[in-house]
Amino acid sequence: MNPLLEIFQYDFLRSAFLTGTLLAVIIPCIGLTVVLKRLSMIGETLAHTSLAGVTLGLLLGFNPTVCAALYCVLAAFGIELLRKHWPQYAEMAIALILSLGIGLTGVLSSFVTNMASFQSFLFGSLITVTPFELKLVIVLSIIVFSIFLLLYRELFYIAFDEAAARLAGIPVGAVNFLFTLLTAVTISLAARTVGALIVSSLLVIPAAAAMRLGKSYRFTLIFAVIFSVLTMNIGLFVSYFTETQPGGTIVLLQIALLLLILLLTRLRK
Amino acid sequence: MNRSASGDCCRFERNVFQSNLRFFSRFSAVKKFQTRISAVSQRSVTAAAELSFFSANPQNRFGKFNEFLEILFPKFKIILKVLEIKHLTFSYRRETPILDDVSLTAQTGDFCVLIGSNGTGKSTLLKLFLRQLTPDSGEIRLFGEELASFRVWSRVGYVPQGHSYLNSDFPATVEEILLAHQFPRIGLFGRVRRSHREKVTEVLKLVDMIPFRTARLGTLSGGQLQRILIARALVNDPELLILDEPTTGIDVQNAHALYELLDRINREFRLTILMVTHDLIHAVNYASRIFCLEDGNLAEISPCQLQHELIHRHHHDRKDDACEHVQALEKRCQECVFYQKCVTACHESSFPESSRGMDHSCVVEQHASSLGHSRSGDTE
Repeated sequence: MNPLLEIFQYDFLRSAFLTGTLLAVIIPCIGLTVVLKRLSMIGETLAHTSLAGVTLGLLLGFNPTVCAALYCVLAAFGIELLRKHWPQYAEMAIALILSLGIGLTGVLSSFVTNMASFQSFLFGSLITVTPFELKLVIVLSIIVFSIFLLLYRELFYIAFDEAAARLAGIPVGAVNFLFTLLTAVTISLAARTVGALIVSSLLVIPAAAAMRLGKSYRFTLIFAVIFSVLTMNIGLFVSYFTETQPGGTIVLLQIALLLLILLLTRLRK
Repeated sequence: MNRSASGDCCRFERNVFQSNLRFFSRFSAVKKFQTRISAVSQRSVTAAAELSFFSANPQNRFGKFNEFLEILFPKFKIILKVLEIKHLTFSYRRETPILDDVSLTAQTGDFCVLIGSNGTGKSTLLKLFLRQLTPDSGEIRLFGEELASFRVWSRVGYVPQGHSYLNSDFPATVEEILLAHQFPRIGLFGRVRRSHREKVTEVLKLVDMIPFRTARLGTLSGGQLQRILIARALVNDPELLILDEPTTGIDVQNAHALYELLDRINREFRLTILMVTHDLIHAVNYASRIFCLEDGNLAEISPCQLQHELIHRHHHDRKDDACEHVQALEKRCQECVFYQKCVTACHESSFPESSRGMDHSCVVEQHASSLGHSRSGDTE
């Protein structure tokens, strides 16, 4: 058998490829909007602050994944609220929420007895995705992608000029609310299944590469998705054959490609 | 604005009008007016076709209806109070009011220019119109409706101050932005249709930017970006266009072209324009009404008066053969609400000595600004 196809013999790897590809489609959709709104660090922040939700869930005996998602939603709305107070300093709102999340996690984790479970939330991995998580990712991907396509123009215009979008009659508050909710749920679930490292890199790196090449918003978005799907799948193949950690391999591959694109665009000029 | 209706639409409108005419002609009372109706029927069909009255943006139908009537009855001009401000007071963080009991009315087809020194509240006033700020007291009405209950924002086009606030590196084309701004036509979850793209072509043609339709924003110059912002403000067929210092950072030639464009829009479409500017020379040439904002007060001066004052200022500062001009203009100067603060004016008149001790340059600037001109060497 072709060694490249041999990889699909294993169930866990098939799940890894499917989960990775689905997340590689939806995360750059959210990521491009997030980057254009100057909130690039929101992925890192929400992924880390969801740990506070996990510790709360473990302490109170609730489902940690659900608690993480709820806490992530609260944190995302906290960022939106603080951003309105300091509109020119959006990154400050992110830093505040990140500090709160890490502080809370630090204090609460000292009461957690089952540290193994806690660690699995901290470092999720593509090759350990459970069937339940795969189903969750499939459902979430369909919801996020549908909403993104429906609100494509509105999200684009709000990211470009929120005041003009409001004047044009776009329900900015409602669209922002929905987008914040989707971002929080996607990041919390993706962090649980594939790890905070990949979530953060999938949000920012494809958008950065696409913005360098894209002449229009549509092209930039399509390029970001193609970039992310390609690097995700190539990264998984490489990690299988070189027996390296998939998350790190994918991120390094993305960075290498981004540098190549930056170099090529510089040379073209 | 939307004067290029499709052929099918025109035929449909003509048929509807003619069938209505036949229906009404059955009644004897109406027959008396039939001759009159016949005389204007051709004109009205043309008017309806030109304005695409039935297919126009439904939110702008009232404005279209006015234009329709005006073409039907050319001698009859409908004047509406587009913008009305009564006794408006506003202060930032409860400090000294930046706007103190300000009143203003702009009517259909007015080209209003708002002038004044920096920090006098011109942009604040615009933000109050756009509900980005809330007044302490007073009333603002847009198209006769209270601002709090006004919802049809597509009737208002806004060109913000400077283009630099925009992220010029944003990965978007001119067309994408003009399509996104057509939200009132496309609607939530709506699809872009040919008519929306045609509208983009129409406004780009108006601002002479057709070749830049697919250009990325980052590749445009300041003047071109400003034109795109104006095209964006016009894309929803507004009835009121608000511009906040549109010529900032633009060279003289481009600024002139911009004023020509605004003048054309104002004349051809009877679009009401309200513009904040420091460009007094152009304001004099193009504006039909000039408002001056200073120390929280608003005063209206005629463009003709401002033109005289600009000449007066020129002579006044050069200290040459100015007396003649000054005496001729003294009466008009005294009408200025800031006259009492102007030391230079006091020399030529009989104002109290006490006011002469004030800082000359500062007060002269205020007076100059209040009269709508600056000292020679500034903007002149």
